[in-house]
Amino acid sequence: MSTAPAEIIAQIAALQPAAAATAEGQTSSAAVVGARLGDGIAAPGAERDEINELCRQIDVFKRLQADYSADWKPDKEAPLAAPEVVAGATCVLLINAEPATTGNDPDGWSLKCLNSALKAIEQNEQLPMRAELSGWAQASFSAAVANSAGAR
Amino acid sequence: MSRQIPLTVLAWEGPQARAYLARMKRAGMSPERIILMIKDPRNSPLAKVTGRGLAKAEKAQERAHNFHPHRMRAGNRGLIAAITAGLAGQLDDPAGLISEMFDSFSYDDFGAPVERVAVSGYRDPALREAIAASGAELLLFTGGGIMPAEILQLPGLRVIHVHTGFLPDVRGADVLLWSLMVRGRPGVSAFLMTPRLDDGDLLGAAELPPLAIPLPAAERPDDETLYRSLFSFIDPLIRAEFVVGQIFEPASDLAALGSTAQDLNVGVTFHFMAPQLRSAALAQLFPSA
Repeated sequence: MSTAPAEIIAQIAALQPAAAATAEGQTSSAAVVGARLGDGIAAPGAERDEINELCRQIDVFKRLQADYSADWKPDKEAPLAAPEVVAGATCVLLINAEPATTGNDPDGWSLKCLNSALKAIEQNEQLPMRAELSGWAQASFSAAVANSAGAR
Repeated sequence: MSRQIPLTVLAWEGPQARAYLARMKRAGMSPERIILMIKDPRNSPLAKVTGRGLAKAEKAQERAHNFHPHRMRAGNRGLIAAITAGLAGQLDDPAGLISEMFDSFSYDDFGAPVERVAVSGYRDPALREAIAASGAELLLFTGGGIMPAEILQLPGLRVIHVHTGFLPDVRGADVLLWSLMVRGRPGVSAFLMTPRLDDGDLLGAAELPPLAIPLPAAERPDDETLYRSLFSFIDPLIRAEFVVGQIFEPASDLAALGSTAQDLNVGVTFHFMAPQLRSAALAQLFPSA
């Protein structure tokens, strides 16, 4: 039996490290994940910006840095986020993918979050609760595809 | 007799540049010039390949950049037939256009002078110099890399890019597939490039009729081939049909083409699809016949 998303979120939230201070112009992935894990689905607009940055790192950089800037080029010297933070980011993305699973995703943003979550799981073999996150992502994926505009 | 339009085609060898030229020719239009970028095997700003070396490099580039469409046309005839049937709802005679793109194609056959420039890429100063020296005011970008700000900011130059997503709603990568999944139909937009991603002023944007290309199971190749068919045939023809048919043809004065600022507060920037999602999108585009 698969683990319920609420249980996965609670367990992964308990693993989150405290965010360290960042240099000027940098954002801490741990801080974003820590804040967003308790905040549910982001509203359109500014609330989505931080999550878009997580997507950008996973999709464009193909990894999550501990700290990041607005630059579109990855900083190859930058330390990576801890696996617990990547797991937290994956949770945040799957929480925000939920509207796509019910066909309530008119602009595709939730499907974009699901896309990044699938990649985060694929990119990180050492994720805490990887099997549970993968099960959640697969269930979301099946529902999102069945409810996509292209399937209707 | 073709009508010359005040447009320079910056040709990066491949299906996209060929589709634009074939569609312009069909509309009875010739660009005022073609600047053909040729990947310089020497890769040095000081010693550019010339003469027979340049011709050899052009030939090698032609084979490399069109390898997949040639291979599919030879080995996946059922797929090509399905694509041309599916695209018939979007444009006239797609089979004829594909033939023009790949059978005996020559950049010298479009009624425009062709300047061949040996470059290492878009950042090669020789390219900027060639564009500046041409006096081009309206340039059609045909892909192949990121256009640097140094070119986009040349005085008096406007660079057109065509994007297979409906702007400002659909930005980014894999947008034809994202459009099908999210909006249930392809979209296409023409805009003036800026150094940022898909945020330039719009020349036009449209959502197209739903697109499905039914494929019999026996004709279905793997997802990698289906994905390559998008960029070999479908995407280039959709872009060419839109920019020529909806932007160039109706314009009485292309040099005075008007544009509208995008609303940058709306829209989603999509990234490349994860293999699983791409497979699902391809299954929607290519359903079983």
